[in-house]
Amino acid sequence: MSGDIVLQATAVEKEYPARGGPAVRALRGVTLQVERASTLGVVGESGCGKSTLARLMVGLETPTRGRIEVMGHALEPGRALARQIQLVFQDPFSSLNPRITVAKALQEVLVVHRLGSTRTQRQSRVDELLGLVALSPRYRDRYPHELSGGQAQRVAIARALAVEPKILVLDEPTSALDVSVRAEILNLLVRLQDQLDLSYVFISHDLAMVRHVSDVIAVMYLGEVVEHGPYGEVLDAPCHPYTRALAAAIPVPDPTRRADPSALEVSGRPDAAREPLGGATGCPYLGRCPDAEAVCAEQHPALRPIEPDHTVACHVALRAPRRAPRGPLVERAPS
Amino acid sequence: MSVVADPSLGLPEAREGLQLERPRRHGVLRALWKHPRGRIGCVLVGLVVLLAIAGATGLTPYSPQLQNPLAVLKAPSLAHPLGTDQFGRDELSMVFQGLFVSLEIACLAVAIAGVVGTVAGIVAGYLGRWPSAVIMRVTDMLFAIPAILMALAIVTALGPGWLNTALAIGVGYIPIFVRIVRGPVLSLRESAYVRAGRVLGFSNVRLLFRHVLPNVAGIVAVQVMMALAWSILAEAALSFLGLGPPPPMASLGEMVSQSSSLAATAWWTLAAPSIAIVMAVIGFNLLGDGLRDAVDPRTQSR
Repeated sequence: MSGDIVLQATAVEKEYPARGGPAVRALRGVTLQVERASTLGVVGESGCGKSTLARLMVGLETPTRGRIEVMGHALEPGRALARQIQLVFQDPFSSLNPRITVAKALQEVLVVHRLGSTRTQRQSRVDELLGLVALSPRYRDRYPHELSGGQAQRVAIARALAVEPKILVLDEPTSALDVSVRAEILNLLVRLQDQLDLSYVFISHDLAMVRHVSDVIAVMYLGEVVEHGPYGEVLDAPCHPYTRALAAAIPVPDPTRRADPSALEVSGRPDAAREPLGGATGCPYLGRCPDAEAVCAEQHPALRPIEPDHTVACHVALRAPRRAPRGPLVERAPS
Repeated sequence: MSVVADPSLGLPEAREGLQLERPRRHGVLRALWKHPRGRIGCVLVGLVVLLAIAGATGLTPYSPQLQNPLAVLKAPSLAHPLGTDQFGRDELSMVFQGLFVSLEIACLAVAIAGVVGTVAGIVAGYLGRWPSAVIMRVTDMLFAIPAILMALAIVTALGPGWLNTALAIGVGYIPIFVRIVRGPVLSLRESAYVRAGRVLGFSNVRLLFRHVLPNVAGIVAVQVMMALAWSILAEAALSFLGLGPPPPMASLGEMVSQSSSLAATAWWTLAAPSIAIVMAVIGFNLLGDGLRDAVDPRTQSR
């Protein structure tokens, strides 16, 4: 893999102070990069730090430790950063001001960034943006509550694109939508990527959603990346037991091969998802891991390559000879 | 990769398209007029304001100060629809003028409370941290003192006069505005669209004035109506205790106070200002009630 790195996160940590206890460590040393015109899929269950990562990337919050660079420059919140990287939220309705019409919301962005010098220029740019997300200009004067979920998310995407960013962070952009319009939005995003040379960070709890769009997948667990690699390798031959569990939980459209949601069940303590079971030193996945060995309780596994480009943080996977691939667990939708 | 064809073929779009022609502007005023209690409030407040203006501009049947020794304590008649007081002054004309004085004090009081309270509430909600802590502790202190007692203390300290009365009433109402405004600002600050604005590089000033303020304007307007009602009552109470504006411009409260000893012999001297107070208070309360529903986006769309 080679190409321009547009976004680089290095050893990013984020802690939130908690009253009467140690700080909550939302991110524990995340290193990731996004290449130009490619998509990094970030998967993990709720509470694993995906959304924190998204907020850090767009400058809504600052990392406690570590460094994030956008287009080679250290992240500095402000209008300049806004032109580089934008965020699309999960719920399109709450991300649009209910009192502002579609056209006014888009125009405001153009005014703030001094894009287009005259009113007419800005108006034609608004129509252009609506066309980009396949919305007819007749929606210009609609209020958000007069739009369907899919339309509102298109408006939110158009607003993010108004500043001509290089990178879009998509924080579960389809989770709040009807199943019927999810594919529409995903296809729109794919088309926009080709058309505008965009780089995506696609955040989702659903591996099935991410596989449609990602080139590279990072699997997060409790604020750490536990597996990272090209989409095909991660999905076809998952090495980390957590990735295997996620992959197994994808519904399979085949009655003879049932999905296995029990793979994600937590053994033992119910709060396992929020607290590393391996304690301070061991593997965070210890309590839920079917393959755990003695070393897992003692040593925190580092993210190490199992193949070029494919890294995993698991003692067992790294030591044992690679499991023979059992055939693709997940098939990618035909292109 | 595949790209789904024209999204306008989708079902939701087609359905939306049919509704395209319906009017889109849901005016707050129209919603208020459609609201049963809101409409009564509008009419009552409109009437009260008109009468007060008449009182202020001298469009009264008699001069409110004119004493007629030949018509002392007359019961309501055609010449004096609300009767006369112990000096032979026309009650109706006095009520008109009293309404104006009472409204004047109430408006100034609410202006003080509304501006100071709203600004403090916005600062506390939007900035957070220590400004919020300071403002909220001061608010707690103000809240701990009953508003009427506070007003009493201020008027006693500053002396009577309609400005001081208004100030006293306004200060007592500040904490309510602070609390009413701070909560929504607090949640709006963390709302996705304010965050989206921040990601888009909008300044705090723009976010505050374009995205946060318009969304609290409705509840402030509602609270203004409630505060006006309360202020009229508070002024009446202060005047009754002899702490209202000094004569000759009698407010409604003062009229009640002066005629309380006459109630047994001339009931109309007490009834006239009391009815005016009740009318104004009910009017503002109903108007606030209707406004609350009218600005609520959940009831707005129908």
